Amino acid sequence: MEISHDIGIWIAALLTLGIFSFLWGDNPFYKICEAIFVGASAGYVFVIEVRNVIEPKLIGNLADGNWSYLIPGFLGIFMLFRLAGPKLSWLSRYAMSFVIGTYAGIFFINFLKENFLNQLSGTMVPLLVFDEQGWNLARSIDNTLMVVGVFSVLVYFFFSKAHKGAFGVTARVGVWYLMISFGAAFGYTVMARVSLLVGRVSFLFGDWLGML
Amino acid sequence: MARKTIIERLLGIDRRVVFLVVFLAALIPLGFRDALRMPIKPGTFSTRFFDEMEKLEPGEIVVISGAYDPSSAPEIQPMVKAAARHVYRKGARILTLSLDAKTPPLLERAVREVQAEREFNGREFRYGRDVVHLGYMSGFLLVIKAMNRSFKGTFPKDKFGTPLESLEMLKNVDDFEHVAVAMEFASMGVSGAPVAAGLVMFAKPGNPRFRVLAGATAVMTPEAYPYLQSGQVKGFLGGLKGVADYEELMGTDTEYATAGSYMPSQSVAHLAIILFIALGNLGYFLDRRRRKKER
Repeated sequence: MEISHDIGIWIAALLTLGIFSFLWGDNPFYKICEAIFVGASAGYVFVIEVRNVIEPKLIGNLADGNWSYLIPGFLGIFMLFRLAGPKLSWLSRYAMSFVIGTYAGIFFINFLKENFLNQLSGTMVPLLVFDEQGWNLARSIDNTLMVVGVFSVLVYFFFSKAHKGAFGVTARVGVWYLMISFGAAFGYTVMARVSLLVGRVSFLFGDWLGML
Repeated sequence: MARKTIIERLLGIDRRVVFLVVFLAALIPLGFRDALRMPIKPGTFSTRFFDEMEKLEPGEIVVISGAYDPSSAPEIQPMVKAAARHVYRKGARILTLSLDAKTPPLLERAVREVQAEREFNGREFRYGRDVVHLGYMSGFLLVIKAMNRSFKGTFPKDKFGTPLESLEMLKNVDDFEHVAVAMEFASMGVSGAPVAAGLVMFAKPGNPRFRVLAGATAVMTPEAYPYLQSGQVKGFLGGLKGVADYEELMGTDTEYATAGSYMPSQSVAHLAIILFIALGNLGYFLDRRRRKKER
């Protein structure tokens, strides 16, 4: 067992313990660690944005005489007028409308194609799958379950017709699909949180205390 | 004072007891990870990821895009390292970029650690030839759209301020046309989109060898399934289990198979959580039955 002599690891370990201490109850040590985390993250991102974006893309281009870059520069400054009170905050709407309009225009076609049309075609699959070996039972079941799932969940979200009779039964199947998918998503969430815990425990007892 | 019944005890377990047990369930197996090493059966999507990477030819370029931060590094960092290890085994080259400001140091560290692994002893890695780090660029998914037109127009300089045209790897490479595989590892939906959405929507080379792979934290994994089912993403690593699968398929040395070594802890912690869920439900149903009887 050899405890780390690295000051960075000591700081990280103490901050980790500080955040973990919230599990016992709110306390000043946790508050300090939380404030350091938020402040350090915000400060780091600010510096990176200035160095990687504002300096090369705006200041660099203006220094080279590309005066058209004044337009995005001013639009960026206009964004900050949201904080300036009612007299000047309207200026931020120009910047916002530019961003939203640009995104909507650029995304529209690609989003429609990749996230709608290609998903539609991905659902149009044969229910009975035959390959070189003959009937592929596993893929047939897989495809059938998927098509039934998509259809029944869509039926569940169709509220213009009362969920009664065959329509209601289909909607009920849709609810089951939704519940199973929520359960799977919750399971994945637990797995993710445990992974992070194992990572931190490994850091504390391995990198810091040298016990692993 | 009346003694507490089993039901009252079950319903009154202090949350701190739950935290402590889960903590110990994560810690104790770490101490015996070699003895407790579990058989890993690789899943379908991890196998597809591996198969696609196996098709890499020497000298081909693999784009590794990252959108994660230190808080999710325990899940994502082993993915990046496993992918980088595979790229170098195949003699291919790595081009990294970040869609989140906090990612570049993590990507750089992952590649550096892989280059220092025992299996690459005696192999000389040169920055600019075997790896280039483009760093972070603001703009979210539009960065990928801009890169589809021109890498050099989007990133005039790399992370260290070197102009891209002076780097050996990128002398004649300026778009995805010369890229064999582009992959995204994410812990957050860039612009709220699923993992690899930018590559799926905007990376459109004519090169038929180009394919998109991805990896994400377990939380984000269900969002990726539509892209996998439709074939828009060819392979996927979901959470730490996905990486453990991939490490298994690659036959990674146990010293470097981080995800595989975490699996015993992961499993024991899951068992502890399942046990508490079962106890909680048992207490709830026993309590409900008792109330019904009392009425």
